[in-house]
Amino acid sequence: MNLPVPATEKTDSGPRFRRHLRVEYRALGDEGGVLLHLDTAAYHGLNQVGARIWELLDGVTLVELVSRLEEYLGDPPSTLADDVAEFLARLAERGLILLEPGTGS
Amino acid sequence: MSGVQVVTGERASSAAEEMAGPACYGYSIRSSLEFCALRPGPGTPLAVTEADDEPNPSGPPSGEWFDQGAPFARLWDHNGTYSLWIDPLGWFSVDPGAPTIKAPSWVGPRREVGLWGLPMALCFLERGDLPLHAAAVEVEGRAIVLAAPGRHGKTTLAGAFVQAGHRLLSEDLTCLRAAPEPAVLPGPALMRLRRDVIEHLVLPGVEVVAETPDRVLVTLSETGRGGAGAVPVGAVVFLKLREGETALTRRSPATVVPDLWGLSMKRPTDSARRRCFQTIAALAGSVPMWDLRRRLSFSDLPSIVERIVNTCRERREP
Repeated sequence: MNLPVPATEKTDSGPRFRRHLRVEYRALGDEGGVLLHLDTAAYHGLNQVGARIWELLDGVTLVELVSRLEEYLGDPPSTLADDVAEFLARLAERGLILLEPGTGS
Repeated sequence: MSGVQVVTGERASSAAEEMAGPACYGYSIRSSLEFCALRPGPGTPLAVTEADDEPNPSGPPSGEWFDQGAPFARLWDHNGTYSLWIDPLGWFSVDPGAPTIKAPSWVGPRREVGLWGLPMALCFLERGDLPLHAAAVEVEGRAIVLAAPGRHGKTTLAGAFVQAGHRLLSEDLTCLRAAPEPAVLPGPALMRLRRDVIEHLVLPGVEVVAETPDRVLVTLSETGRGGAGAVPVGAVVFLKLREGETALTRRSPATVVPDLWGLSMKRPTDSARRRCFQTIAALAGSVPMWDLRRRLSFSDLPSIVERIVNTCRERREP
């Protein structure tokens, strides 16, 4: 799997992640959320953390995203940054998010 | 049921205006035509008149519906009004914004079946409600929606509920509203039963109003059909076919979205699909949904009805 960003990148100058405008989202309370890509008509279920990440994808860098998630989770796992990077890679593979070049690239 | 006022080509003064009278899918039907399957109740006015000419749409249709591989309906979209051809009934002109429906020359109950199908679905789709390929019955004040593609036993199972004393809300097309609380807006009080089905079911108070070589069209009695007011949704049950033991299993909200999407009618525009998706997801997140996996067997019907009723009842009780 090709990650959109190296999981080890810890600077705040990496690419920014944004929700694709042609993806519709609906939260499902404790069940997470669900996405519909209008172009492919494909559905994607998100668990609670995935739904929270989706809601935060308003042009954030990986570093910013992980930081906000750490606040949200309270006691985040040590692998959080790698997990988030992998999750973003999956979203990117499915055309659900857009990547904007970072200032340091 | 007759003697209701004709309103021709006039827009309702307010979309929120509620009128009492013969109603269907949340619309108060204003027409001089005779109908046999409406229920008394509230609704926004919708005028049904006989068409005085046939539309002549150009270009390919924007939508087609098939039955066993053959098209039975074609739709032309004229920026929000529609020309709809339904085989063998003829042309319908639908203006969901007014709302008005012009129907082919009237000859009886079979045309009424056509009218309360796709033409009405186009209207309540515009209103923001969800047209779902499903039957619906009322059990203890709650609607149970029986959702499935054709030939999965929706009508037969709905008939088994009627046989057990429950009320039919809709037979093949169900109008679902997501907010302020999920509800079914009752459709026509009629059923199109296969001949072998009607031989196996004892349906109290129904009247045969038309017959075809393979189907018997029945309407519910005036007392059995009840009113047209919205009924809160208690459950959605997806009907699946399989041999062996019957199983009723709970579905998680995220997993039912594709099922609801596949069974819903929607216009092929981004805004319509966004709205449909939001309605479906709202329903998925707020209504308990189940899979019923079963074989098609008349002898199993009473126990399946009992099982669905008991499961829904247990879920409501603390």
